[in-house]
Amino acid sequence: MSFAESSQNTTSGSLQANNKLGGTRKPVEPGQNAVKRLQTELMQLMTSPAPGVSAFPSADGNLLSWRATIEGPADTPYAGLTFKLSFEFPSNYPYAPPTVLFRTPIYHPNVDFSGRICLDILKDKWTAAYNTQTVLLSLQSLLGEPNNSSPLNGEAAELWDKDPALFKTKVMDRHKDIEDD
Amino acid sequence: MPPPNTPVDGTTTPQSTQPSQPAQSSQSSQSVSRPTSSIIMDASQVKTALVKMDYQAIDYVNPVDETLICPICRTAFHSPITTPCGHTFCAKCINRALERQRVCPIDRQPIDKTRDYRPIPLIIKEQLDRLEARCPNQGCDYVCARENLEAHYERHCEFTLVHCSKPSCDKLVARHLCSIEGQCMHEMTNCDFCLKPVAFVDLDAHWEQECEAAFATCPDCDASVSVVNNSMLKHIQQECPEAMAKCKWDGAGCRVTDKRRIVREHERNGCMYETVGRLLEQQAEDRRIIQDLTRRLASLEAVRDTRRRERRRDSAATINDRTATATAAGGSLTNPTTSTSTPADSTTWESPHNYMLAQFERLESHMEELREMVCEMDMRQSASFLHHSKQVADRFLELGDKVGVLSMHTKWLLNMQYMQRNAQLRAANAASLAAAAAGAGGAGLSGGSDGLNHGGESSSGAGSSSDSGLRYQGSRRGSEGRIENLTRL
Repeated sequence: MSFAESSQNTTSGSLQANNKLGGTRKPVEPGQNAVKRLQTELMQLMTSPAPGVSAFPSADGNLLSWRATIEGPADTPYAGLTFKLSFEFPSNYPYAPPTVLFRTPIYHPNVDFSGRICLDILKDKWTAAYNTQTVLLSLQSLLGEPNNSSPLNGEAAELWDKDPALFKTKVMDRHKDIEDD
Repeated sequence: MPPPNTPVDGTTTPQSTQPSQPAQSSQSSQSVSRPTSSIIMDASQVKTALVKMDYQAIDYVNPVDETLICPICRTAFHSPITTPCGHTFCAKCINRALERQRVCPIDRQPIDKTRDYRPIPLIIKEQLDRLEARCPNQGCDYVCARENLEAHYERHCEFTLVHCSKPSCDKLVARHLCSIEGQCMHEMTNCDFCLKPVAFVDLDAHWEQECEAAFATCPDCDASVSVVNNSMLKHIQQECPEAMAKCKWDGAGCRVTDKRRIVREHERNGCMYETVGRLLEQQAEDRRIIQDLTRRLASLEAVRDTRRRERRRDSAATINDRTATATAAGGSLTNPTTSTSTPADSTTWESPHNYMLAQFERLESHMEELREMVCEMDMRQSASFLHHSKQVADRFLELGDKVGVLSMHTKWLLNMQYMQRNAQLRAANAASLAAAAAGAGGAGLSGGSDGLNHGGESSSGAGSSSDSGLRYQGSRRGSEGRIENLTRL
């Protein structure tokens, strides 16, 4: 519950106060739903973690902002590498998708140089049944099977088929372990 | 930092609304939208919750099966529905998801929510109802089946938010905090320690988080410890590393008493008495187990004894039945009542049910005995009746005989008298006739000798009948013969 309380302090504290004063009497405010669902997800991730992926709320204690890691799948150019990502959940999560960014620099056809990801399930194909773990697993499989028909990084999309060796070099060049903030 | 709601509290005047309370109290339990009327006048009346229980906040005792978890909220289904594609969601969750996209969140099949929802099977509903759930209120550790949790939350839970006791205050307060009638928990009071104004309802939080005076420095370890509710005492007795403490194996004979920190170190390094202490613990545990087993054995033996007694009584009853029938035939009276009732009375009964059954059986066997006794008595009665009546009949016959003999005697005597008179008359006549004619006198003599012959026969018959009181057959025949003789006479 410490997460929830601190999140009230930062984001929805004023809203809570209004509620207390009897201004609006909505049974459950939207942010609360998201927080609750994220708590359940966190619980699930900790009790039954999926191999190769992990996620945890960021250090500032805001449950709507998470840090995640993906291990590069074997038999792909990303094998042996670890990628850090950031998740920003909207207050109407899970009805709206989280904003996911690669924080580790990555050379990939569907990821641009600022870490933005082009993945349909994070945009229009998002449904409320997705969760952090499924998103991470989808991203992990995206590493091995990029969608080269709609690339954010055209060069990478080209090299993926043409010159796997050069692609691998570019991946290793671009990859750089970052410090946690 | 004072809570955001404090300024409003200070300015409210409760007296203005007080007189209207009794009139409104009748509808207070239902009305949620009018906070001023929710004041409780009757202590037994229960304040209902103002905010519906949040099913997503429920914590379950056991992990809920994945099949019972809504894919959207990731908690156990609450009033679930099934889509035409066969997926199940909480009604609230799927409705909200469909506001964005009219497709199933699992397989993206189009859904028209006005038509396409189907009810879930009852078996799922029952599974959900039976989940052991904890009350979602913080501070409450009530656990029950989920179907009953809402009632607990809305009517009983001390931590559910209800209207403030003061009618003019429309804020919410945990039920256990609004116990004082008319006392607004949002009114300001002064903190006992820092003397700053704090609302009653926020006192606990204030002590825990803000109030610096509520914390004191432990005299031993220099740590800052709360002084609310004797926490300092608890700290010194149980936690403080610098306070004096005894070794954990004190009971086993260890005499080490030092600062808790050092004692803990001593315990970690292996107290000499640890083995003894563990043995003692083990022994205590064993003793408890033995006691438990003894108790269980005793109860089992009691049950076994009861069963055995019942069985014995049953068999006794059948034996009694048999002997009763046998003795009834023999005509002697037995008393099986005592043999059956004594074990029944001394038995301890497991349940009133069994007791009633046994009583019933006992009464039934009594009835059986009584019936047999009545039968027997009936037989004896009729036998003795027969016996007596036979004697009476014999007497009657004997008397009848005697009467016959007497009447015969009388007739014979009468006959004798008659004959004598006849003879005298005849003699007189004969004398007169002889005087008249000598031939007529010879005929009269022969008739007289004939009459004498008859009298001799009948007297011998009467003599034989008078001494045959027992051989009445013969005497009857005799008397018949006499009667014949008499009629012939």
